Amino acid sequence: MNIDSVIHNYLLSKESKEELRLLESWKEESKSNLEVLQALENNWNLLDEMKEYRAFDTPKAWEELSSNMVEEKEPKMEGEIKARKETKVFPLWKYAVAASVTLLVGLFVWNSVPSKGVGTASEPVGILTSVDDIITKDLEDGSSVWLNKSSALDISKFSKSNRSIALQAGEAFFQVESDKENPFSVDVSDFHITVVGTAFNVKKADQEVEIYVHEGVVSVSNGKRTVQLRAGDMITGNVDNFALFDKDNDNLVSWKSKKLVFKNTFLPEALKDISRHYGKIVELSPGAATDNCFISTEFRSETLEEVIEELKVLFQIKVSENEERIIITEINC
Amino acid sequence: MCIILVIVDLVEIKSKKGFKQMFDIYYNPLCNFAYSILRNSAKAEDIVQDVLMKIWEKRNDIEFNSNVKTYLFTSVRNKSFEYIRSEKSERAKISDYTLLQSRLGDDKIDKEATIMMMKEELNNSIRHLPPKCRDIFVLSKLQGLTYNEIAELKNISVKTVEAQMSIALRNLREKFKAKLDNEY
Repeated sequence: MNIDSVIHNYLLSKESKEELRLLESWKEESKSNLEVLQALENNWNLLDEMKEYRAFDTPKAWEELSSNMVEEKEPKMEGEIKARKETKVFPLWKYAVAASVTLLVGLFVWNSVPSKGVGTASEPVGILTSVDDIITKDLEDGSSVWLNKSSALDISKFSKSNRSIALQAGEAFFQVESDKENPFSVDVSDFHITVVGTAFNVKKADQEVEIYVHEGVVSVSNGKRTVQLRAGDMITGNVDNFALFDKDNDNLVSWKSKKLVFKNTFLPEALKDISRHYGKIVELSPGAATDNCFISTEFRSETLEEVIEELKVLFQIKVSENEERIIITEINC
Repeated sequence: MCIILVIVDLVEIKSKKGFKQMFDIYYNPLCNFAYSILRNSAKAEDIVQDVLMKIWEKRNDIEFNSNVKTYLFTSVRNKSFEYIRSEKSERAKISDYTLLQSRLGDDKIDKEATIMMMKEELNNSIRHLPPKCRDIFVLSKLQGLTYNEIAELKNISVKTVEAQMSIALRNLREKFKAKLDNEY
């Protein structure tokens, strides 16, 4: 019997018992037979979605594109990223020891967070730690630091002439007093951040760092390359693999400002900010259409329950909730 | 908002020749991907060409690795969404924009890209079938005609349809086998 007609019948689910037996023994003959059959099966199912797959005119497109392509002989030298509000690209920052450094920091922080003494400053000398409360600290140079819950900040080396700090865990917001002679610097994981006078937020989570600039200009470096961030810019990732976003969203520091402000914000975006602020995921079920859902409102001291209540009033939402997340199942915009 | 992914060097796209290789592999699947979002083939091609041109212009700043596929599909997705958002009237037609957003989320884009590349491969395999056999295969699998309907339309017997389908399958089977052999 011809194996192709057996496979054919099998794919159409009309194989006989004898054919199925044949196919089983053919499958066992070799690994490649098995793999070929799997490939055929997968592709067979895929074929149902292929109806609209088409062939665009690739050669013609190449002709159009290549006529606009200029090929210089010399690659451009590395330089400052000047093109604002355009695609910004950084080459790879290689840093082989990143993982081990992060791990060490993690252990250290775990040991340095006091088991009692809720929300008060530092037991180990010069290490500012927070547990259940946000704490603020005025530094001797006139700058201020806000430390989010469960965070640790090393200010042991800090002085007026040596303004250096290290964020060991969690999230901190810095309002920096201008002093051109003595730059203010923050180390976090493998990033080194320097500023003159500005306000910015730094968050360290697991393997990732997030740096968001609220005002002014901030330089971020890994020791090899320096990148300038301006107000509204955010870097997220680790030194090996990170992305720069043109975020311009002060809700990223809502933990410190204690307010979430939405001005005609696309609802799925607003939900991300709400999730971050309350530490619980609020999301839309895939079926909920939010094409025309835009929100303009402000939350200050509201609890998450009150926020959901407001969404109910605004968009007639229905929700289902478990410990980790609140899912919006129905919405009407 | 703009997003930049940083990726490592494997694919050599700095020369025009190397770039063309990438272009030939990805142009059609990317256009099909953009089309699946936009439902407009001219716009789909525009967006893919824009994305590829940007990459060419930035080729000395970007470093690619095996993530080139993810990078390309992510860029085309972002551009397509940007376009949908900017065109209120167009957006109104796409009632399932949110659905698309979640279906093509960052966690799923890889899988979507892989499926699109598989479709491209399958499409090429079908295109290279013997003509008679291809016709019957397309009528059956893509147009959804029954064997009886095909037999009637083509004025051949149902047995012949079955035989041609078997040939098509054998061709595809051999193709996949060759491909699998190459991979190992």
